[in-house]
Amino acid sequence: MPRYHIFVGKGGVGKSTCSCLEALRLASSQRKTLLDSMDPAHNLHDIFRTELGAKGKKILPTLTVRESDTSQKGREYMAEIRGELKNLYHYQQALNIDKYFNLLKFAPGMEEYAALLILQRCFDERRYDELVIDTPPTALTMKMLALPGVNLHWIHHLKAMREEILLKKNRVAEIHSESSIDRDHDPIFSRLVRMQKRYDTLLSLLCDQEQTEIVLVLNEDELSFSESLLIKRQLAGFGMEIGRIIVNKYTGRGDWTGRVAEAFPNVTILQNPLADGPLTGITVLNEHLSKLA
Amino acid sequence: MLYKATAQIEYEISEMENSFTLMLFGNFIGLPGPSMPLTLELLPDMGGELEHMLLRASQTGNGLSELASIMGEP
Repeated sequence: MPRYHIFVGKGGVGKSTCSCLEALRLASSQRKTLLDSMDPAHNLHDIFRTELGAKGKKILPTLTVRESDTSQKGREYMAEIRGELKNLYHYQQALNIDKYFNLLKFAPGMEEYAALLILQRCFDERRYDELVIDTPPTALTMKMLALPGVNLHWIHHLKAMREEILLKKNRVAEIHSESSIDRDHDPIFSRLVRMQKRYDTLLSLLCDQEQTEIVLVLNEDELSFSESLLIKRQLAGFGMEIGRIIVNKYTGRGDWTGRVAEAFPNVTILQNPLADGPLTGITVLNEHLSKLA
Repeated sequence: MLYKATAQIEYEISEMENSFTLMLFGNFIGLPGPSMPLTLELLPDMGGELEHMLLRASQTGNGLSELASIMGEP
């Protein structure tokens, strides 16, 4: 059973560096590891000092690194929908429908959905033992994590309504001695069931602490601390919990350890000390990792 | 009598189908709705429902004759 480690936190706290260190640590214990960056502003290639891409590159025998492209994923999704609509809606006859679809990618919900599709791709991976996910900035990450629950809420109501429509239609068909429609053969109802299953699986995986660990990264400063409290509250609203906290660039100045422990009781808190120089390149990262051990 | 009863249920079904489509595509007319990806995913199966919604919208101003047609023959 693969394990997922989702790194969240305020922009600039060092989520990417911490996720790189985590991926290296897991890979060194002979666990087949995938590190995937979902941040549109990728910097894993800078940290590892090597060219990377959306396809993934094996930088160690047990470590593959990937920089996923949310815009590309969004485009692929739209192309898929367009393909399905072409046969059904006299697509070519409708003027400006291509322009309409080009605008749709900017519609609310599309960016977080593209991010969710990338997260789903990680969850569908079967080649790895450990998957480390470096997330985009907080606002987008939170919207992405909210999406399965919100969509499930809508699907639940739409399914109930569709079921009632079919039930009434069948009653009328019975009176007219016509054949009834089995709800499993109703394309809309079946699609809603398929969508419900998909979002249910995603949400259960995100809430299952045995399989998914949400790692919160913060610094010893007021801004990242208050954003961390906000993240905690929002995650709790989605039924998710923080599994581990990393105080990155730790110096020990101020009573941050106490404040963090008080705000996040029962959560493991680790410290990643401030490095003397930039943490880039596998050798430097491994040296830093050995000091932590 | 049976005809009138089924006609009323059929009218109710038609209204429910319209509400179902409005719930999904209401954002076109400013109603709050589900996220765009959810709507888009259902769009390929909603051809008939969309046509029904447009027809229903075009008949909105003709409520009296619609009511009369549901009531049927006296």
